[in-house]
Amino acid sequence: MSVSMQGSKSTVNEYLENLPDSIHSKLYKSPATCLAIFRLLPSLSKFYIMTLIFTENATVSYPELNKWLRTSPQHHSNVSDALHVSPAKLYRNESLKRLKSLNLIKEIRRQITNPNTGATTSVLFFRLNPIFRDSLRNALSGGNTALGNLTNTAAATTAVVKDEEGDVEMQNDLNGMFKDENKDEIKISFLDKWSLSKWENILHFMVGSELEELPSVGVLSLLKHSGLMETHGKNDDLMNLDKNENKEDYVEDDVSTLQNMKITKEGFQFLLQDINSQIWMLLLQYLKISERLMMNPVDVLNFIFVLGSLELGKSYKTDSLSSTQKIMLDDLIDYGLIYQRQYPEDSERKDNHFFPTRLATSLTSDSKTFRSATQVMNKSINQFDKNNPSKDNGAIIIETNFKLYCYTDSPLQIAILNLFVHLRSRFSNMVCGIITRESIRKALVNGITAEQIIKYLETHAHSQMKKQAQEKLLRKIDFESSTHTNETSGRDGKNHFTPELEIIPPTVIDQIKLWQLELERIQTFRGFLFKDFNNDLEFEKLWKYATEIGVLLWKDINKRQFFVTQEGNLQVVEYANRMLRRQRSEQSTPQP
Amino acid sequence: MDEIADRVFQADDVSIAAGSSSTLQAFDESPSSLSLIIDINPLQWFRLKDQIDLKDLSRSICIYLNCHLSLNSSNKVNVLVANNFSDGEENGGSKILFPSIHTKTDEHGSSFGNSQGKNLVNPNMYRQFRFVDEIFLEELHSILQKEPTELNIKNFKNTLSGALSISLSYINKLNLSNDGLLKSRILIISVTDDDSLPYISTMNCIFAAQKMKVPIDVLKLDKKDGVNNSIFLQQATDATNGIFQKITHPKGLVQYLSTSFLIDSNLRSILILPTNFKIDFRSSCFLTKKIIDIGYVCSVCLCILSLIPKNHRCPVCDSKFDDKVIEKLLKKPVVGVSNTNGKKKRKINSVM
Repeated sequence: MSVSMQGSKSTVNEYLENLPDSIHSKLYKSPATCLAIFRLLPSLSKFYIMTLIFTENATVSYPELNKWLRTSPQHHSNVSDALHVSPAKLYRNESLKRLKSLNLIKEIRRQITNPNTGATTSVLFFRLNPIFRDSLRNALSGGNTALGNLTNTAAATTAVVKDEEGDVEMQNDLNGMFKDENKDEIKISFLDKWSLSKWENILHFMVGSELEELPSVGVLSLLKHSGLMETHGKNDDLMNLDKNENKEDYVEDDVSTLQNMKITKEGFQFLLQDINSQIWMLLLQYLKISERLMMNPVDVLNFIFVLGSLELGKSYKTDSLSSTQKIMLDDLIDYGLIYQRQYPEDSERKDNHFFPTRLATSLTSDSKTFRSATQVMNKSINQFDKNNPSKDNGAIIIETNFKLYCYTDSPLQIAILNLFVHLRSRFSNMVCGIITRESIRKALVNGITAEQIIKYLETHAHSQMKKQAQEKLLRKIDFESSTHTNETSGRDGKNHFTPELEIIPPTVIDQIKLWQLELERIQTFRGFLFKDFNNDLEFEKLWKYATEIGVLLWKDINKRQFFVTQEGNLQVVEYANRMLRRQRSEQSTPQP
Repeated sequence: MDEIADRVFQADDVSIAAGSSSTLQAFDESPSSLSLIIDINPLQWFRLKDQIDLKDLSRSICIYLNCHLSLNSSNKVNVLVANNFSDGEENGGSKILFPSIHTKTDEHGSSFGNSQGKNLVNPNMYRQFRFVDEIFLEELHSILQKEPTELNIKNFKNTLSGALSISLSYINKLNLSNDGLLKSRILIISVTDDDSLPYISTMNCIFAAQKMKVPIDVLKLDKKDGVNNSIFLQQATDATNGIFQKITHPKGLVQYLSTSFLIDSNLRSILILPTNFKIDFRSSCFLTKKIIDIGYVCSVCLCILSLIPKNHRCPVCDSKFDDKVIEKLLKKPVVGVSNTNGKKKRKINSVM
């Protein structure tokens, strides 16, 4: 789960990191957005921010930051100290890099005079972005009066504030409005059902199953623009697309051509991801389109992040939204992220309250809760229509002999399985198939990764398989702990062994991975080669630095060569220049 | 004391340190739960009245809880008080403030009680935070209301261990319902010296926490010249890989809380924990409850005694002590004759 989730998260992060500074500072004016962005950070970055947020000037020196870190791991068995770069350090660099690229911290160099010796040294300081700091402080402390003005500047914040204020009356008139649904319970399950059906409708459309109601044009063109689906006559359509792009208008695609789209490779990959990643992917695509439509990206992003902090089963007023956000509202309804009640007698008029669904509220939460959230979802849905067990995700059984059985009659799932399983027979409520080298290779060639296949199988495994795996794990842990207590040398780091939950037979997993490796004998990286060093010292310093900042790809000590990634090159070159300068100055001083 | 520090902790540390940075990144995802135990012994708070009062503390705590909740959207908190006053009825002892028993909460924690706390918390606050803060303040308020006007010293007993065991059971319950995905920790905000702390039950809690891999952090509020007397709490933090800090300048409490006590269980392996005390490993006499350097140990149940009981029977396991040995032990030392090699061995400085 974490892999695919990290995938989706990284795309979000990438998008955020690539935004210009001005947009960053606008974004950080909204406490809700700050909170959401904060939650997307690595734990160590969160820790750094938390330590800085309540200090007076929100600065900290780089050496001080390092002091908190336990740099030497407790074990150094066979790796010599010099060659070892601790993972903690790598993690720290990664965390700092993220903070910097999100513009959350700024580097400042300051001259510090040592009170004893009087010598001045330049020390690197980190300073928390003041806008971000104020907003997050606001969010944490509930806002104080001095910062109140700031809160009001961001449109999205006011929206939230208004929502909260109007909530009490809103609750009351809501109760009057739907007397049959005034219990929270029912509403939530209703929302779950509604949002999932909406979402599945989109997925069903992608695999081309028969649908009573096609997704809306907005959804269809989004699918097309994200490259998940393509229209039939490729050449014609490419031209069409170009034309459309020139006009900067995406809605004008012919509806009937859109409805006859075919799924692409990317689309298949998309299907294998978990819901949360799928939604993020579409939302990012939405962001890109919205930029082209001259929608304010700050408004759009704020709204997405605010959605994540709204509460399930509560209604919110639409009045307080900005015009951009009102446009978004309609689109998000199409994706099933938001529910808005429509009056049956008058389809044009819409209720001025909206309900975020679970798909929306779990946007900024982490994968594990979401998985449990989907489980809750499935549960509640199953309670609703017990005669439709196909919606239960846990239906796949795999045996160690690569045979696969799936209790389903949903064309969606069968279509997905067909991507990497050689299906043999189909019954009214199940399909049988076998995983072969050919079937997996077909999927791999289509761009689906082994990781994705395994994740899919794991998340959709039959409950019986999960149960068995858990029992096995428990037995293993028992066994381990019983042997461990007898061992006196349990601490040398080698004896520890953490048993993992193996839902899918390990043989199958390994084999799928091996089949992937068959195709990946050569990996390519873009980057830069460093060679022709003057001496060992220089060489060693440089490659160590490169490892520390995590950009080293390959090195050969004998040939004095190493290779770094494209992104890291600049940093390494700078470091090298600095080193050269220092050397020169050192050489020049003693001579005269 | 290394024996106390369970191997499970060490093994964990090594595996994390040895793992690649990607394993560390995987931890970013996991939610955690925080159990906060607040000591509200009125006498001790009175002692600290020049430096901090409960109001300041609760203000900081609100922000602290929000900080914890902000780390991950599925983070959980629960708050307990160790109320030292007990009148034998329902008010008294330890109590859970959040999640509240009085206010009905559904699974999303979205319903609000008839809150008086509402005017205490800014209504503009993010919902998830406001909900927790309101209930916390409200419940704390109602407990303080119930406090009788006349305080009888005799009614006081330290209920910290009770609060600890409640929070441990709460954590256990959470773990059961979350497939063990939730990492938990406990923070004790203590103002009381723990000579009054019941040794056995506290130690049992510590060992239970150790088995459950729940770090116990302790924030000790003390006067500037206060002698550090929280021996057991220090031992608790040491045994569970927790953080102990004695704070004598409580003005910047938020900073302490947001820095030292916001270290997630995941980060503990790579950060140097801000524990600045030499840990005192002494334990207390089972009979007199005094902390002792040298004492007697029952050879059967290992209970620690500062004096030899009159009936020559162990007060815990009721086994009869050997009269001869006792005689030997009671003998005043004579110069030049070694006489302390008995069955009752004297243990020096470390009884653990």
